[in-house]
Amino acid sequence: MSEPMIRLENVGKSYDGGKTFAVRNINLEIEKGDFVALLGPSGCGKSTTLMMLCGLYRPTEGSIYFNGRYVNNVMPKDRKIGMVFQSYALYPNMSIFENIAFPLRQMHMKKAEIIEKVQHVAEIVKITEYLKRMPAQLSGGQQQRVAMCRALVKDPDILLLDEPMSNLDARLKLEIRDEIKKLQERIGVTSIIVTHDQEEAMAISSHIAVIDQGVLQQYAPPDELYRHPKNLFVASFIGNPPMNFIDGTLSCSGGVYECVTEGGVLKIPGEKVDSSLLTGNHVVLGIRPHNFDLVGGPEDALTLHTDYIEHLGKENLYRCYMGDAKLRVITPISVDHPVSEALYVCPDYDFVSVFDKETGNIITK
Amino acid sequence: MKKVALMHADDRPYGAWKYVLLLLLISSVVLIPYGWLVLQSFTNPEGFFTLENWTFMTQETMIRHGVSLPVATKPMLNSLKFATLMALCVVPVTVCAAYPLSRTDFIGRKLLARLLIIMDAFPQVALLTSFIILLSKMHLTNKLIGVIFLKVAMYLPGSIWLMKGFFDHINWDIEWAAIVDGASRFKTFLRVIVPAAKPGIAVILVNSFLSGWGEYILISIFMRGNATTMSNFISSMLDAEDGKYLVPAGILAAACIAYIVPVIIIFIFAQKTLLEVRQGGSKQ
Repeated sequence: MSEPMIRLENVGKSYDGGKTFAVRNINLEIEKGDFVALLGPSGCGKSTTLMMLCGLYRPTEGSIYFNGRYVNNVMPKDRKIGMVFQSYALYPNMSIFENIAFPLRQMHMKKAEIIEKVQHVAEIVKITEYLKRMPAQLSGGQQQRVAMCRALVKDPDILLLDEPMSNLDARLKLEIRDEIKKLQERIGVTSIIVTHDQEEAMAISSHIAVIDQGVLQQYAPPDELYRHPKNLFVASFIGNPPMNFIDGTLSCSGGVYECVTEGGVLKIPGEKVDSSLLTGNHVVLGIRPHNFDLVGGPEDALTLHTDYIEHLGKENLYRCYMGDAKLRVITPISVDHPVSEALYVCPDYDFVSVFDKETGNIITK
Repeated sequence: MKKVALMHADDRPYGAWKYVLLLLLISSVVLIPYGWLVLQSFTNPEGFFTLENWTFMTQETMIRHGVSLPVATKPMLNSLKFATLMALCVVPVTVCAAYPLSRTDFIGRKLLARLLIIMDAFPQVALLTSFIILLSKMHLTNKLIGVIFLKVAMYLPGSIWLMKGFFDHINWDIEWAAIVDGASRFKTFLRVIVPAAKPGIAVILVNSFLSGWGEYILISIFMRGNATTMSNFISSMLDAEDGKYLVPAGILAAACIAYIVPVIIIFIFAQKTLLEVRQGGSKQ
């Protein structure tokens, strides 16, 4: 197999001589043309990872390879990267043209060539009309585009985006998100985006690396993350509204796993569970709000009590409780179940994830 | 860039004028002396309008029998020279010293920062003895350049500390962006950081100029003569002979006005830059 575009080998970054870790033991392989999202809650180490990729931080452990080349000690300017910062980081004293031309000027490129390149990239991102203005005269979305231009103007091998959309309002965010995705597909540049917004990551990227507390939790395409989260953290972080978690006790009888929960007994098909991963019989069931069917009675179902109903327009969201556990159940708008009556729901077993309570890891296939 | 929301006059509560009046009354403690100064400089002892108080600008002024002050243009120019040189020395040193304190980690950084604050708090007068020894060893006594040297040295700790604060407020992103774009650290500093810190640098420039313009103690101690700078010139006018002041109050007031006017002119020119608080061209 050929060398991947980016390879991280046991990469770690510690401070105070190894006392506190921002990131530890990250292994990642990113192929040419991939759009990878580094996703995690704030302070999880995703930005640190990006800073190590762009060369502003040096890893304290492990190695980073770009196209097979060891780059741990390579200066940012020699890494063939373009970067978009959260605050866009436009130089306030320079015109938009000069901002975009800045990286080229540092390469001592000829004037005519600079003008041509800036024009070209400005056309792609559609900001030609602003070239003469100053950054302070542009709106947030326009500044964001200029930052993209500046990152792309030197034809980088890798485009790094550090929370590029967190300063935009919700509507503009969607628009810019589409644009970035289309642009990336069009020019095919390998891109890495840092974000804490799981929806953004799901929408924009071809692969997502979920990071928590400095440790890579799972690296997979978005649909796999959604369907088969490796552990409880990934399961809880991906998806909106979030997954429901139900504590239960698992026992096997005749090829079927019976899971006893507070709200009833569920029968999980035996071929789904990898029993070798079980450490005890305490498990956590993970069921997404969409994956429930309403049934008539309490047999092989969960008995829930409705707290209140959110009418979301395209569907109804039942906020329920089952003992102490709070659950969300999404139903079609045609369902009009009275709040006072018990709600019997049966999960769609194809989409049920079972996690070992002890290790937090998934035990379903 | 966030627009600062101001309370519009229309939204003010009724009866606010009472407080405005009260505030004006309190402010009058400051305002009245200035008003008096202006009035005094344009009136003769009989209370009529006159310009003859301003003759010190064109001819010598007698302060004692046989002793006169030179034409005021000389001390004016000296003050200007003193203040300009001072500002020109302070600004580059301050900017170059404050940047590493704000941005880089090196051994002794914290100690240095603490020393700056302590040194800024030292009273000038307490250091006079060492100043005298220092200047005489350097053969700089009774020379304006020697006093500028002292003044700059005294002024730097505070200005470096202030400038460090301005640098601290510049977004790291913009510096990182320049480095990723291929600029060297020095070029990043010169092309990106210094322009972004322009309002801060303007504050240092104007403040150090005004500090030089207003300097009195060091000049009166280290410079011989009555009229080296304007501060000196004015204090010489207060020379009394047999308990009587020879220089009329009108002339004194006019000299004070002449000393103040350049400050006002500087503020008119600098206010735009001084009021400008711009940060990285980003919405934050």
